[in-house]
Amino acid sequence: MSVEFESCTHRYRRGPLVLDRLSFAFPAGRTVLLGPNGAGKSTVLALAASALRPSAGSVRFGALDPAVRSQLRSYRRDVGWLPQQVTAVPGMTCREQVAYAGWLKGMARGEAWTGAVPALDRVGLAKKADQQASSLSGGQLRRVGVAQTLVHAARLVLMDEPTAGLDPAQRTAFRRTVERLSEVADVIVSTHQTEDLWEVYDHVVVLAGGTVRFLGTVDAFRALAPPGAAAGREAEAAYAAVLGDGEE
Amino acid sequence: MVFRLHLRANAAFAAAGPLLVVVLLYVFAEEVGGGPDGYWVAGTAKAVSALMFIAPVVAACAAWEAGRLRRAGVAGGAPVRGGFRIAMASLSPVLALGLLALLVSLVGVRVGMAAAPGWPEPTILAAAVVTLCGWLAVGYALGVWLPPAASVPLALVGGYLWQVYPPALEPLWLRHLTQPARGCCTSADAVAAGGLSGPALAAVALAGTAVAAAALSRRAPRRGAPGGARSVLVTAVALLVASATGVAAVRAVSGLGPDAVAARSADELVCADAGAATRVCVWPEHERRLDETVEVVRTAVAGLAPVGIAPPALVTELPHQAAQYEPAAGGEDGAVTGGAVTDGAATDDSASGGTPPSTGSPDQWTITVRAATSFTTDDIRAGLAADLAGALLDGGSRTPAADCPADPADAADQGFQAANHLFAWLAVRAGTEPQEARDRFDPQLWTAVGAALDGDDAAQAAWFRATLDRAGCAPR
Repeated sequence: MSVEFESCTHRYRRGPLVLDRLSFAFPAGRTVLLGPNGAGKSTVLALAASALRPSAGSVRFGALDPAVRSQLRSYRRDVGWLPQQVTAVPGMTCREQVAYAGWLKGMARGEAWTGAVPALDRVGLAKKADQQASSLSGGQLRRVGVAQTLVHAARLVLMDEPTAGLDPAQRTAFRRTVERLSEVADVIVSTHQTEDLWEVYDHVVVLAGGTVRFLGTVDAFRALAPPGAAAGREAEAAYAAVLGDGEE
Repeated sequence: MVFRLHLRANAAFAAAGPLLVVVLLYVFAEEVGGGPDGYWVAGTAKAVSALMFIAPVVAACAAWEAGRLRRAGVAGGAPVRGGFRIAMASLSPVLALGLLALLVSLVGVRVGMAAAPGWPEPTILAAAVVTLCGWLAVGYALGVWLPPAASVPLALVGGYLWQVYPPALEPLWLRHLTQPARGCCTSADAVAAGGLSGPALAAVALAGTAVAAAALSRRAPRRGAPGGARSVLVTAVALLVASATGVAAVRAVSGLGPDAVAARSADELVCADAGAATRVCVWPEHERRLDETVEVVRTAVAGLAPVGIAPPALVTELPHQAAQYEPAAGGEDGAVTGGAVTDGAATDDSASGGTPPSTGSPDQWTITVRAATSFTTDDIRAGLAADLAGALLDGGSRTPAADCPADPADAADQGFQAANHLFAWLAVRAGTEPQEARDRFDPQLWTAVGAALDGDDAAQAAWFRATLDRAGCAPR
């Protein structure tokens, strides 16, 4: 079960069309969403999270349609959402922030409070549970963000450029986080970084100009790399091949 | 919320100490309009006047909390909870602080009251809570729209100015939109209905505007998407409610003067007989001193009847304009119904033993009683004498003495001097010890009064009538 877009069109207020009758389904498992700036990656993820409502068309997760008011609660409870900017809630500790996120996602207070520690443990931050979230580094804060999506037992976790601004060590730690996360939920991650695709993800979706240019397994994506692509740069080469000249 | 975060990290937690200190300082320092004297309506009004500090702080805390939600990106986090639940989770500690501050103010006022039968006035408290909720909503809306650096000071300063500036403006009723029961009450007053419904409706109007603003904002946490049909509907309904309640608020207060008061119902008076024909009535908060007051009246009646001042049918705390007493047959079960004092001959002179004819003495005397023990029996007696002197001097049937000086200034001087003599003489006849009276009054004045008091009752009655006539020389 995954997110399906059906004739989905979206336009921000007074802006140009970002998505025009987009129809596709994210595969289950670990999926990376690639695309140049302005391709509509964040819009797609925000629509999938139901943080945005499409101007036309529909988004579904299994049988759940967020446009149907009675299904919105279930939809949002099932879909975890880590936006591009993870912010420390002023005055809160890590555990409080994670518990609060759980409460916002409909969990009972006590349940969210109890579930916050295992969620932090899953992202390797259990020892920092009682530390002010505002005192964490950017990478740690993103892991708190991941814990926020875990605490309410989401079945699908969406992450918008979670590795932007992280140093190599933090990216490695984040990769492990995604691996552990995928044991309990499907994961969709948008990113510009292609160097570790093979180790982390099962599927690749390339979005450009509001349309899906590629959707397939990582092996199929690797196969798009032209012969003679430099070792370790196959993903970049395949990505360039999908987009065609001048796209990036 | 049981989350520690909603208490420990909440702005209300930090603001509680300073606010409660300010409220306590205010309650114990503020003496404008006098103390409530055991009268809970006045006491409750005084307690809720601390809203001038509480409401701005509550609004500022709400603005800060909205800013936290805004900075935390809750609106973009696709929450399952509805916007109202999310807001209330953050705002409930703030509201609790406001209610606690009101409670502290109320307790502070109660501590300052010597006796306080009954309970705080619930209608005033209800209007205060509605006002508080209005400011909570306004602060939240400001915090949704503006960054904390702007919203918090704006809520704090703007809220304070809203509370304290309108009383300096015309028209006078403007002040009653800001705070319930403003200017209420002396013992003789009740709170005017418009003084409660006006500010409550104005607070609902403020809250409606705030809700409309929050519903329009893309930064307000909500379950649905901003700009959706539901947001538009909420905005429209909120604006409609704000308009209707705003108009209703102005209509409710537009008839009020500087104080939100109405005449207190005479039905509240607690009465007892002081002799066959005289009934004494005090406000319930002074009931503990009713026996003492009855004794003062009994003594006064006994002292004044022999010199021609007839026992009144009623001695009451209700001011003249509002009192009307209809003694039942035998004078045992009279009822105070509200009305005007009579000014005619004595009704029943049984206590005087048929002494000199009465001198147009009033059928109702006004008395002043206070709950505080610092207000002594002598103070009650002096008040009685002063009120009686005033009533006698204002009596419509009196004619000025024939030998009033021709010069108006001299006439006035003679009239005022005679009035002072009369007051001192009445005090002693009403039961004040001569030594006490000597201490209270000007020695020069006392010479004439002392000489009069040395005469027998008939001589004093004649002196009284002559002095009353001389007092009539003063311009009226």
